[in-house]
Amino acid sequence: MLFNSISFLVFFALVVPVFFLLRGKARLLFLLAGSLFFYCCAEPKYLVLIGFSTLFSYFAARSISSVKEERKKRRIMVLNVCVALIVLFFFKYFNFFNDSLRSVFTYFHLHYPVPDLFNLVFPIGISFYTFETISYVIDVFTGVREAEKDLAVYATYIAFFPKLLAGPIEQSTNLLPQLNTETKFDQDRIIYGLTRMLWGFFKKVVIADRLALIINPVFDSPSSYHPLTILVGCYATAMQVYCDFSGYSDIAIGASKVLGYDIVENFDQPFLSRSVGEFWRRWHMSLSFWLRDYLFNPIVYSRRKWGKYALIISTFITFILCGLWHGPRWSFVVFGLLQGLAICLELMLQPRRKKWAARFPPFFYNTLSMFITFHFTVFSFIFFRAKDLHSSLNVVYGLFHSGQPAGSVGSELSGLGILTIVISLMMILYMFVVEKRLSPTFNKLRYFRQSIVFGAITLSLLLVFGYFDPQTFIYFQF
Amino acid sequence: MKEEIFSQLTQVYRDVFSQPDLQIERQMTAKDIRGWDSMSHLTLIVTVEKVFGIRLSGSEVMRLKNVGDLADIIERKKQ
Amino acid sequence: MKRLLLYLGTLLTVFIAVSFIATNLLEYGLKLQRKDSFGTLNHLTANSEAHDVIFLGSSLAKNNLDPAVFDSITGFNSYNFGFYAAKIDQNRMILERYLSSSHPAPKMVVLVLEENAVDTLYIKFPPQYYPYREDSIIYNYVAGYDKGIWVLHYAPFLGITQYNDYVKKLGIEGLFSSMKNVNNHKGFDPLTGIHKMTTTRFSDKNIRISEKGYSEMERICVLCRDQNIKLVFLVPPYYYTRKGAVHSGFADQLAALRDKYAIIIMDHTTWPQHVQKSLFYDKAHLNENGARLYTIAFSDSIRALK
Repeated sequence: MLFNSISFLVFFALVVPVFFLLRGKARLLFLLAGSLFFYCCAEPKYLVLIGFSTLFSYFAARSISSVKEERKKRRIMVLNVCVALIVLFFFKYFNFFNDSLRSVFTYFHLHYPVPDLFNLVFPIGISFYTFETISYVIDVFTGVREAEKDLAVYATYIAFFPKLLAGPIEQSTNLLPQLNTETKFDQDRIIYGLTRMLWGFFKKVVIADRLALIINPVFDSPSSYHPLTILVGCYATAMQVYCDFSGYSDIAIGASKVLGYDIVENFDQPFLSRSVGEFWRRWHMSLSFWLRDYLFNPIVYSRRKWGKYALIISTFITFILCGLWHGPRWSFVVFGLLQGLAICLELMLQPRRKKWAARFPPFFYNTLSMFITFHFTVFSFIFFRAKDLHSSLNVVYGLFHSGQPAGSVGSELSGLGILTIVISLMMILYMFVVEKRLSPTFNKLRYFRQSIVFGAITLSLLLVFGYFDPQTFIYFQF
Repeated sequence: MKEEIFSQLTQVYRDVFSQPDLQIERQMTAKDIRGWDSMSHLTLIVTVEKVFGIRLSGSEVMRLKNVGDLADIIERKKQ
Repeated sequence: MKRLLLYLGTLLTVFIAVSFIATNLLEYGLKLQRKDSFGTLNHLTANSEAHDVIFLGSSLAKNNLDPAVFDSITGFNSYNFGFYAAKIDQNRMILERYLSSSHPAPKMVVLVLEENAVDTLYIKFPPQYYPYREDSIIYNYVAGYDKGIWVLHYAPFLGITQYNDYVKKLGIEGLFSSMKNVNNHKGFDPLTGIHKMTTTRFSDKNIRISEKGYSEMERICVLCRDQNIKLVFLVPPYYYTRKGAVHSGFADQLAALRDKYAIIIMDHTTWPQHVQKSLFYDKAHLNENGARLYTIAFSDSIRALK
């Protein structure tokens, strides 16, 4: 069930009233059943997989908290993490590594016997809930939280439908405790949630899907476009990916708010970052914080006597895996490598950057930093968006080699294309105006009036400029 | 003892984040202090270990949520 | 609770109002459109002009038969009611709709046949019929396949969410540019470009078409017989295709209909020019030049009937 589908709207409109009519355990079980139904609509046969992950991590955490010996606790934790990673690896990366190994073997004219598993359909959401189970078990191991006693609560935490298919990745300390208490019906929170959802739909249906129309042809055959057209396509890509995924997160966060739960924020105007490091604290925050807490920091602290080198090694490992997390493709590895390189460079230049910052006027320095960071991001997104490494390199090549006469840019982006760009730019401007004001203020009445006006304008724009051919969210493939 | 640790810790924070007039409070988190990212966090932990002569394990570091947690663990280790 | 209800009420009102206005504007524009399937449907539902000969069929009618050329040779007044991806029941619906108007019935109906348009029935793009949902014949045909038209019938303001960009473009064009002087070629849509493929051959299995498709063909035969209309089954030329006319099983079925309803079957699969690459757009569609040459040949064979 896609968020941007009529069936989701119907599902949601049915779930919310029933949810608030029920009380106590019945409500929780209803939420769990609804979430599982939601997952079934996407991928019924992998319900088994999510069930397995949930049960396995639940019992692992229970036994960690019941055994006394530190060594045994560690053993259970490691076992659970390994199994979770093996499952993830098998379903998501097996064919990829198999293919890569095979091409190495064929390169040396060797026979490679392992066949691909052709029928492996990608279990949607696996990258997200696997990370959640891992973080939960590690948290119980390190003592950040107690093991959850109630299986229903824990299963609801993993399967909670707003965040099930594409995050945000919840760490155990936020949503899980909330599920133990009953949420109250609060009309202002529901209004906020609904406005937030509407806002997400707007970003997806109006901006992202419209931009996709001009991006897809450029990325499909960059050699037949002028470098300027490709450049426009690259800027559009950054905006598209942002609007697509942050729009998804807005819908997820909004839907949770309606039900009375606060799930973590995922974006904080990332394109205004002044460094790549900052970018990752504002872009897909739930993933970067997860990677920081369960991958980067453990490596850094176990190797801290190496000083700066611990940071550098850890950064590279983290970002290569961060790239691979997005999908089994070499272009994602390159994407991760680029991010790692940039962050290491920032780390090396840190003392010098402080000096520069002191020398120039702050406005100039900040704007320049923002400009450089943004352009680096746009460049790295070429590897993020293209369907494989080869075609992303083609796009990069096309940026610098004119295959078409200079006058062709206008006609390449003609008619609908230019209209699309103009509409999208207007919408992006509107977006930056609204996004800041969306969060509730202390004055309930004033906030209520604002929500009505924003809601009405957004809804109207959505209807008039929306792109109504169903398109899936980019982050569903991860 | 408690206050002594806290004022020493304040000095560490001021040095690490090069903000000479930084005032820290127990409930402060990474969000509240400019420049407190994963990189400077390492410097902070290493400096704390050096200054107070203690050793923190990986999972102890992971459990830290704010300045207060850090002060508490230093106090516990010093005893 | 009051604020929430007010919020929901306002948004619902805005939704209905904006959608209603946008849908109506768009559909108004679509009804002024003279090109594409909307142009043809507008001509059909206007009931304004009687034709001596009408062409029915899929793109094989729409791209291959030029009424202007046909009229200049035969002296008839013809119209091309071909639709992209139309199936046999759509052809029947169009004929039924045409005959339901008060003007005199045509003298002749030419049904352009292709096997897969008779065999499997569906509607490729239902929203092209949505603006005409008030027309009972069109409505009943579409409602058999698509729930969307049913929804729009009861909630007409939802239209804007059903139309894609292509339809919106046509609607806006209809609204803002003067459509009066647009030459719509009487439903004919000339293609430009030359076939790039090599020889294609169809398999020659003994294919019979489905019961449903066959009964739709029979309904067309009955409609024509009842109104004394001459019915011609036309199989258009294919580029360098198999030597036989149609698959033998289908040919038997056609022969049965011919014997029962006195239909004329014209098999032009191997029109002498069908080996000329320069006349084809792809393996089954003629380009503008090819369509003109073929319509001349076709007109001659119609004239020979008289």
